[in-house]
Amino acid sequence: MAQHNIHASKNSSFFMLLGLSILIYFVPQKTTNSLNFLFHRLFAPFLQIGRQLADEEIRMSGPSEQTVSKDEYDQLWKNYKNLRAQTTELEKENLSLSRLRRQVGLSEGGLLSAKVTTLVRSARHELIINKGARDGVAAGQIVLSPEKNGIVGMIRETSETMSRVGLLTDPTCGIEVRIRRDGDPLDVAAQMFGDGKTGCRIGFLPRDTDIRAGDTIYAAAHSGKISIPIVAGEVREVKPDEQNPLLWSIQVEPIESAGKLKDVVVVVPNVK
Amino acid sequence: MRWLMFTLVLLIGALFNGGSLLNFIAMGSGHIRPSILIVMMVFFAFHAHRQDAIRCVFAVGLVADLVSTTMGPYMIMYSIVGLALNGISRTINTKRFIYQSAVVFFAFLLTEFPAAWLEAWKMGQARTHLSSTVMETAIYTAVLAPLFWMFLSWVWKWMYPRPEDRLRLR
Repeated sequence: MAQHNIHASKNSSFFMLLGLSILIYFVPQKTTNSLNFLFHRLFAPFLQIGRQLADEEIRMSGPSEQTVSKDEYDQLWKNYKNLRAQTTELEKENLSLSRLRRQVGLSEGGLLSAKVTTLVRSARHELIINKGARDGVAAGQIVLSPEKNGIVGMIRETSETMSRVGLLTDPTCGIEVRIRRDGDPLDVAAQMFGDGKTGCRIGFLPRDTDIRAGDTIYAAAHSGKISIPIVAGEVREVKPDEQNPLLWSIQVEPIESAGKLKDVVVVVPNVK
Repeated sequence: MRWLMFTLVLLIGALFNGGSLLNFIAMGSGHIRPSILIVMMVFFAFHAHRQDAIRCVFAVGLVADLVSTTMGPYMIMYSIVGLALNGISRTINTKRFIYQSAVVFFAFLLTEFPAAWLEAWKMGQARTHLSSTVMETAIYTAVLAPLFWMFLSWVWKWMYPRPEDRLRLR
């Protein structure tokens, strides 16, 4: 009898839970995202199961994509040699920049190593990493591959101990880039967005701009983020925009495969 | 209803939905994966008694929010759609695969579009390719729904151990 009395009516139970849902919905994202991060932190080992194998499945290509012709090989070899020469120059430049950074107090403290706990690639393309606001990570910071030679994405939001990284392939992730070509003075500024699939796209470039497949995409040097351009991808296809034929629609293939990453480096310029 | 068993099944669903294992069966360049949680929501809405169904669909919505990016949208939509599905549970014969698929397909559309809008409203960032992604995911989930449904039917007897407590469906 007593038990019967304390039973809420069927409808009041529904309205109570719906009200609670609406209340939670209106709690600011900064507060509720800690719950999302908590879930990912608690179940990280389970969420990671099959991540690398699955990524290899996705990226598996046919035999025709694994071999190149002799001409193409020669071309690649020359490019490689040119790149080696450029790398040597860049290493010298990097050394002097490192000295400069140490002098102004940034040094290696500006680079923060983090472990990837989860890869989300459904509606959004994101990584969850195990460093957060407590370590100096903040929204908008650039995330690099462990070797620091390729850009992975940008910090989207943080909790105290974890952060969400928007990958370059995420449609809502936009970064400033420069389009350059080996042995050519070409240097075009543009804005790059993910296509929500496996690549990125660049729009709003007029058709008289000389862009070709194979041109390299660099994340633009940005005050407070990165001091030198860092390679982000390669132009895969250039075709006239379907909606505005006076503009190019450029497809870009990102250089980094997020699925294989176990660690990343966050550029944290303000850490001293 | 045995809530510990329900929590365990829900957790398994959440880990599949939020984890990487479903990447093995992801399809197309859009990387479309089935949604296990929507099948669970529909199943519990159809099989549990009204009071339990309300709690179950709320819990599934809570977990769907936890594995996504923001809290609230799925809790709201799953609660509303789940209650509506519970209301019509005696009028649809979900023993046939085709009806299971159809119900899951429409339930996914009814929850996913408003949830995506609510999410965009809260986050200030709309998903691109929303229509195509939701449609493709709805179709893929509907195709696989009978498989997940069979698994849920199998574990259902441990959630309601006494047959007389189970809802009699058509």
